[in-house]
Amino acid sequence: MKKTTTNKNFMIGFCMVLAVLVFALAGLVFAPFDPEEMDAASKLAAPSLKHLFGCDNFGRDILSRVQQGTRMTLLIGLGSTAIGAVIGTVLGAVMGYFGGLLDEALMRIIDVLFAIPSILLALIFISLFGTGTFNVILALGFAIVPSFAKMVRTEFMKQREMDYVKAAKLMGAGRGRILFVHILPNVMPTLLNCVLISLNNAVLAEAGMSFLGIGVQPPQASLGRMLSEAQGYLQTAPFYTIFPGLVMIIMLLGFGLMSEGGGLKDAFRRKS
Amino acid sequence: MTNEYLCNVQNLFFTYGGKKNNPTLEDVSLQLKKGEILGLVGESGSGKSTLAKVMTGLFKEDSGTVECGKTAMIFQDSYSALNPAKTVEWLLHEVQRLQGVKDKATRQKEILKMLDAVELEEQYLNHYPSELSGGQRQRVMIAMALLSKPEVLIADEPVSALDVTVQKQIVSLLKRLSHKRNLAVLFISHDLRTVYELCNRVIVMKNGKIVEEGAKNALYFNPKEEYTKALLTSAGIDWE
Repeated sequence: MKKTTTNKNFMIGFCMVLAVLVFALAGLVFAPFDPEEMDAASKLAAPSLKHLFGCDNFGRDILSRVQQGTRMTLLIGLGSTAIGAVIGTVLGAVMGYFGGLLDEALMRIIDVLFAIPSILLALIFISLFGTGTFNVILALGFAIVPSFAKMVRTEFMKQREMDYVKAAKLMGAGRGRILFVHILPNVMPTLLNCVLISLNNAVLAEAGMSFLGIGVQPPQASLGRMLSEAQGYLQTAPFYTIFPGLVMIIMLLGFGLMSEGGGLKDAFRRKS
Repeated sequence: MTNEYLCNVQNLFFTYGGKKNNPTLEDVSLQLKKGEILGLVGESGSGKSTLAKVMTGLFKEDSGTVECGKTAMIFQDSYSALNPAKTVEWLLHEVQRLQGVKDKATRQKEILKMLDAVELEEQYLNHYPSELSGGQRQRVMIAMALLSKPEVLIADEPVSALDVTVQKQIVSLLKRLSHKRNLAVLFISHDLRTVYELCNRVIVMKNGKIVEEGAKNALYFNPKEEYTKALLTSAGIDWE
């Protein structure tokens, strides 16, 4: 019974994320207007048949900008999560499997990094290397590394004690093969769940950074950037806030339901 | 190692975590000949599995010598010993890939022959370990062990988690395979009846030491040590 409920959550979440993805990618083929094209005559124009989501304070079409912003937010979320997941997985696998002094030393560094909020770590990175989309992806990616490393380390520590690992050693499998061909597939269900949670966090962090003005730089759009720009018009043009906010809520809720539902875990974990 | 023995263990000492005053294995010596099935019995904690792991090289001995030919191991818990994320087919291919057999068709041919030898149907190839019964998983383990073409097979309580009928099937399978392939087998068990059924010679271990060894009939019907007598009595074997 519980499994049906959790899978239902996963499916609802998946449909929500898919809808956002289709909406964002549709903008590449069909965007009603150039997202950066300004029209002084349409400043803060309310939603109409011409501008379905209305226009912003520069007369730019909000629908086109939300599409562009969603793509940007997704790109940053996926890019930073990929960096965090890959580096964190390799580090965690090595630490968890080999243990010893290397593990001890790296764990202390990770503990220190863990004590600092990810967004603050990203801020330090941005202040050192400057703003820009690529730097935001790198900053958030490196900020995510400790959480992935810690989670993967724990999983590898559990798995290394299993007899199948000893059997692989006896068969002559090398360390790299044991780590990434034999053990990693058994860590995948937990890892994928972590990826979904991390996507959620990265999207929120990007929004936070753009809101503070250190994320995506104008004239490029991102959902966080749009919310930041719209805050002065909350009463006069609420649609300016509502549409980017709505897309972000659907996306976050979608990722949240997917990770909570454990559908990816079910897909990887075989009948037991 | 002399030509006579496939496995020669001499004066072996091993301690977990370097606690020298409390060795897990103390002055253990044993030999295994080609085609011989040697039983290793003793109560839980007597050091049987540790000895197996030192003999396979999973643990490094503190002192003494271990000289064994190519060794494979069958683990007690087949559920933990088979990678849960891989199919039976992948597992059997992997053993051969690690042996350097690159051609997939050659590997597949060998796998089919091996399935026949361990009496497992081909349909189970695309199953995951969790989809197999205990006996089927143990047959997969045996197939994996034999695909690595060992000279010495160490079976660490391979039937203790199985029901009696399946136990008998696996024991007779091991007996046939050992005979057919002239394998030296170290069969570890606390089930003295199974050991009697399968082995030619038996070693009794207590607290990390070998307390008695001999041909099975001599050991079962004319035991010298009190500990052996107690083991036989507790197994309901009339040794007197």
